[in-house]
Amino acid sequence: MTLLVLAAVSVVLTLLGFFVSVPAFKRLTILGLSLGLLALFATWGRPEAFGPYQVDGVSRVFTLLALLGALWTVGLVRTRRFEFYLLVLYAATGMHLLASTKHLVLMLVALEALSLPLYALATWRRGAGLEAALKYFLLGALAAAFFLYGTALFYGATGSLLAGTPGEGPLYALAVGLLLVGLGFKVALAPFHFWTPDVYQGSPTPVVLFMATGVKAAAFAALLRVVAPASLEALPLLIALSVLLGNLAALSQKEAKRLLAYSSIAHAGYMALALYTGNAQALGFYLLTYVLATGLAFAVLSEVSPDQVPLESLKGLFHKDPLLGLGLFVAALSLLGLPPLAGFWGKYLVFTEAARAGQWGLLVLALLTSAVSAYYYLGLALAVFQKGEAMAAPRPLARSVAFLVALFLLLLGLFPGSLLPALAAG
Amino acid sequence: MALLTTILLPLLGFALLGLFGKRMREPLPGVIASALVLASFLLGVDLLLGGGARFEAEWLPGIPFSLLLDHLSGFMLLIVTGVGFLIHVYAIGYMAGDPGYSRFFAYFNLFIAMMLTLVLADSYPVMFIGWEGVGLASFLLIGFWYQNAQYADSARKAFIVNRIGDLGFLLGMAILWALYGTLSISELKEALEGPLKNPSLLALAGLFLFLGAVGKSAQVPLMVWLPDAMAGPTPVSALIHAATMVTAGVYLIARSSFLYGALPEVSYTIAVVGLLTAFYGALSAFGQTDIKKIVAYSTISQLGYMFLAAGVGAYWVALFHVFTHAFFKALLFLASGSVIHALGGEQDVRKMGGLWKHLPQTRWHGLIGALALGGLPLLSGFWSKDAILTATLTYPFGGAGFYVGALLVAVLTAMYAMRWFVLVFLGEERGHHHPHEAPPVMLWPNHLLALGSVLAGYLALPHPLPNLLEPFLKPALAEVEAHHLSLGAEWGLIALSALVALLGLWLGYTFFQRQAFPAWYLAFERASRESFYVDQAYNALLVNPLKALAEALLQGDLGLLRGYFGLGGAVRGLGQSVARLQAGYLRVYALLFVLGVLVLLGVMRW
Amino acid sequence: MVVLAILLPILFGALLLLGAPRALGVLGALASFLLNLGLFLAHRGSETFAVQLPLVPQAGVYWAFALDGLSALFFLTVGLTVLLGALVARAEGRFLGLALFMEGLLLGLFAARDLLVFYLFFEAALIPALLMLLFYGGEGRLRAIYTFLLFTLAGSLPMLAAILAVKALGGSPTFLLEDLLAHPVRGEAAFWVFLGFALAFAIKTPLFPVHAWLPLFHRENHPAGLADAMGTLYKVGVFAFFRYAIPLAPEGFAELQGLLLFLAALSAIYGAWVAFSAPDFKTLLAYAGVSHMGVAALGVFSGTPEGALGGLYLLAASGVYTGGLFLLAGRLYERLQTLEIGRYRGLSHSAPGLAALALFLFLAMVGLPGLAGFPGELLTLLGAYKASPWLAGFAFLSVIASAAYALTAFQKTFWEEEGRKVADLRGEEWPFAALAVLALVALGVFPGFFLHGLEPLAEAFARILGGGA
Repeated sequence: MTLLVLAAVSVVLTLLGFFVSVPAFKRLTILGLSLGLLALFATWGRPEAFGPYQVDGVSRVFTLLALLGALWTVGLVRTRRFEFYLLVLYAATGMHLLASTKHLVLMLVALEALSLPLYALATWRRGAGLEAALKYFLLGALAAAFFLYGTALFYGATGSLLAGTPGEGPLYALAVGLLLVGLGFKVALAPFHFWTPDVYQGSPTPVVLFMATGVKAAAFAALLRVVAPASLEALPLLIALSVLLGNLAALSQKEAKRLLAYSSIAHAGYMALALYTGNAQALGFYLLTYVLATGLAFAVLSEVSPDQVPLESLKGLFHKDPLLGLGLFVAALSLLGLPPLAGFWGKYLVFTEAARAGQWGLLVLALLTSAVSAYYYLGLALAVFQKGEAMAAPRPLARSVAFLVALFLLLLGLFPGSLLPALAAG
Repeated sequence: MALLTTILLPLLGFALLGLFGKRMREPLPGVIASALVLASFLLGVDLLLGGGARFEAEWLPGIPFSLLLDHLSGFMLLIVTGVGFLIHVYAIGYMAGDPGYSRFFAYFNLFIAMMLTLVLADSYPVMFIGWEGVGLASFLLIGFWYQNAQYADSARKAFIVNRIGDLGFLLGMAILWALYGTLSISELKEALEGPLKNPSLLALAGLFLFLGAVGKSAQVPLMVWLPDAMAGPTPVSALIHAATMVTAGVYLIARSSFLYGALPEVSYTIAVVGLLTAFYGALSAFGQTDIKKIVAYSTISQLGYMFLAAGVGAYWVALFHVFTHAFFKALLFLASGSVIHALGGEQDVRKMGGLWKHLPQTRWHGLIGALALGGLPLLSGFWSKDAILTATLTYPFGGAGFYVGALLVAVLTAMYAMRWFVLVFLGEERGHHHPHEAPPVMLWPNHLLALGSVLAGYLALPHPLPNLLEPFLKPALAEVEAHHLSLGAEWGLIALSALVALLGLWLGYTFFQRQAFPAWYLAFERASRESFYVDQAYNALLVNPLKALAEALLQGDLGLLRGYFGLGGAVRGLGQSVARLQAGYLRVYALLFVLGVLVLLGVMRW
Repeated sequence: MVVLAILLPILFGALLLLGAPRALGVLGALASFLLNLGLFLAHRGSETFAVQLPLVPQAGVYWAFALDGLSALFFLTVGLTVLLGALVARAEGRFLGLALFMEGLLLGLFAARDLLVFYLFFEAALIPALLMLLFYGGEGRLRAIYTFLLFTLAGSLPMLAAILAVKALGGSPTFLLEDLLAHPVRGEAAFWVFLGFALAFAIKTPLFPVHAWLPLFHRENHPAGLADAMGTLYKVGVFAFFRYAIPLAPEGFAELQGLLLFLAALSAIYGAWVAFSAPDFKTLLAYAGVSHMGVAALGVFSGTPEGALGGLYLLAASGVYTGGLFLLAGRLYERLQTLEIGRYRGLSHSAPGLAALALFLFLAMVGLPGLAGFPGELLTLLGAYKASPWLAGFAFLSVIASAAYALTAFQKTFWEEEGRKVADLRGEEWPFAALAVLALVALGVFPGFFLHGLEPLAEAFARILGGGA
């Protein structure tokens, strides 16, 4: 249903693109994505299957997150070319597909379907963006190759192409390991994260928002299906590396987007803690808070400048525009996981999963590194209150969205229990 | 409740004068304060005649606020409020015209309230309220003229040194609590009647409590604060630093006699400390040039006597001396005050002399005080001092050594008492003042005190003459069996001490009228003037190193913070080197990517 | 009612943050204090006003609050201190709003009956504290903010692991305190769990050597002293040790008791000693706070009922007198434009009322019997001696040191030659002084009244540790 809507909208808009004006096209895209969301809600809680395309709770929750990211990106961007919106639509369709299948080959197709538009989007600005996009593309190809190889081995080991098929032996482990590499690249788990800082810094901010939210959501859905059932020994290594590298490297960053890139690596590590028990609810909630908070952060940054945003240039933002300043403040504290903001509950839920799995060492490491992360999140949060000449020409819509999202982060932090059942129902 | 009222009356005075005293005209604050103390005195007498009283209220868990008026506390109550009243009245005249007039009486009343709490307490923590309370009042009164930085320093010093003793008091309480689970004096008394639970620990408790007494009563080695305490107005010196507060330590030992009576070793220590202090005070008194400091050192010395008595087990004798001492020492201080008053604030005895003809009343006060202190037979000081001397031989914790030592101190006492008198009243006038006699409001209290200095000793005359005091106090004190001397021996000793006192007085009278002194005396006097350099030694060995260390610790603490910053910097540096991996070269990324895959596959359990 | 008490200051705080006038804040503080007073008088020793609403029931987390003897006492002292601050601190409306906000969070912290809810409030109270420092702090506030936040989080995030472990390893179905207490963690895990708690609470006590954030925090805060008073109330480590860390992992505590007693004793003497050479009032009070909290911690670590009572009472009372002293320092700053000790002397000459108030507060702080500090100190000593005679003696050397620093600071400010004329108590300082003195005397003279509801808790605490009556 949702796939149908998204695909149809994509096709129709592709054709329409040559006839309607860009602002109208933007509105149409938003309408299309909203239709997709509507379709999602209309069927909420009712699993549906069409061959290897299976919409279940995981799929819905993660698609929802991806679509939210897409909508936000579309809303934020200021471009005169309709292709941007189209590419986002295509990618969103791919994301939905990736989140909605257990079939490894279909997964690979979906992965490419979402990646190719993103490569293009990453090059939206010439210059440094192009170089970064090229890195992204080449490394992505490498990752895809590993994924493909993993798929082949998986079939060899289990005789099935359905993720989650139980298996054993070296071949099986190797297969799952390689699949993990392919998907780990997408969610920016260390040591497959190298593209992230360069691409985040080089790409237009709305695109980065999309990468940080939509891609992570979709790829984590796939990870849930592929890795969670297999209980991999390599997972702790990836998590440990991610939280360490991400948080440590972020400490010395002077540019907000690069800083958030490293933060996204660290968050990928935290989210991966939920893979131990495969608790989609916990992961979904975490992703929701992450999407909202990091989306909010990028949204504010994009109002300051679509380009690079040195921390210096954020100084004085609160005095220039209190709503935006507070928005960034709340976003940073939520990313840090400070109660009563929603980010705390996300962390709490995934950490509970790690505790249930008995991963105490990893848990303590994760918590210690998040204490370290306080340093740079605080740098981000406090910059807005300092004296300085921040430039910002925010649009009213962006301000109200920022305000609403910040409020939502707070309310969600106070009443997290109200949303969890819905996530569970899927 | 009536018992509590004895405390509340002066406390009310404190609140009233503290809040509204500024708006009252002289001498109203003084009159109010004196009247309240008198009311307290009368109430106390009434209660005592009624056979004592008890009061108990909830305070701390397991520690009620309990007061007890028995003969022992009643006796002290009478001294505190009685002598206190006289000195209050004296102060009405002495403090006249001082800008802090009402403040003075507020503090004075606070002191009386706290002293009564101390005395009436039937539990150590309650006693501790009074204990620290009188310390506070003493602090406030020593620093009464706080614009003088030196006076302020003296006040602070007194409080801090007292706090060393207070720590001992606290630790003593902690041990008793751990051993018996109660701090009520009555209950502890009962609990200690059987065989002792843990004698060595109990002895430690006794020592700690004694440390408290050492601090409050200015015994060696914590005696350094008392001479400085003379910075306060003279009535303060008379009331607090002679007659009452400083004897609180003796009272503590007497109150805890059930404890010390069972601890011979600790009692021996007390006696030794007492004798040492008696010597130290007496020797230091010789070199002093400040009229009040001479008296202050004599107080230290006399307190030593009291501890000697308490140490050998003669608790009632110690209290007897507290009683007589309260009269003659208060008298000495108030006479000194009248002298200072007469000379317009002059305190240096080297600039006095020849006042005999100018002060027709005060001269008699001074003479009686000095003679009573010096132990002239038939005056009060003689009887109580003699009782102490005898006690060192008859009580179980005593010994001949103590007797000889105490006798020597008696000679010294008589000598410096005469030195004080000679330098102030006899000889030529060395200053250029126009002395005038004190007003009646200051003279009348002194008349009464002089009377007391003469007669107080007849309360407890040696065997076989009547002794009213011992049977009065006996029920409240631990029973320590004293063996009786034969009548001949006893009166022989009395004759000896009388002779010794007379000898000392005569020596002092003649020696200090000389124009020139031998070289050995001058050397001794120099050392004595500096109190044998104890203050300097404490400063060099203790106070200054501790201060320097405090400074060093503050710097060290900032260093600690810098250390944490350094740790943070190190983590940041680590982050920087991690971030440096992100060199921007695709080939490096690809290489690391593949390496990552290999490592990932490598850690798997195959 | 408890929820109302928590929400009331938050509501007023929010109004003030939105720009309501300062007077409304004073009203709010007064209302909150009166409500808290009423709650204190209404509770009957046992748990009352229990509330339990689902927060994340799936994970066993509930908005659970109740008032027992312990929380009621802290309701009272927190409300009182905030009222004192609201009365005199020359703070603009928003500043006061943040303080009221923080009061609500602290009340929630004290009333929480769910471990995770406690944690929520514990962390959330950071935010207003940070904002006060950020908006109203001094030149070096950024560094102080970082230090404060990183120290707090370095403790509280590992604590989160311990919180998760308590439930997971103890097998409790929920995070409700009663459930957790019925399923304590045993064995080796108890050690690690307790360690997680201990680090966080040691930082918030604060104990040597993790106290280093505190002097910086106070130095950089606004000189009016409001933020400092709130910061003082925020030092809840001793409370948290008593209510959570020790009962939830008694075996872990048993292993670390010696070390903790030692650190507490060291803090007590170290803080007092350093305070002696403090150059300004805030530094002095910061180190004095370290010393007092060391003593309080010593009481709780002793594991005895009287020690625990003493430690908690000291904690509650210190909120009032240390907070009061910070506020008083604020009054001095307004008159002298400096907090340096000894810069101007002899203030007693022109401001005797101010001097008397200062002396009252200082004496309460040094534990003069009859004032607020003494009951706690005495009980602590009685308990601590049972646990470790040597350390008790060592820690209580601070009795001497505290007299030294307090009287020295008092003398150098209020005594000696007059250095400058200043105004005496005036206007709203009168109710402040009256209330403070009244409270300190009441806390000192009727400790039994305030401790009444706490005794059964202290007994239960000691029973968990295998001692007590």
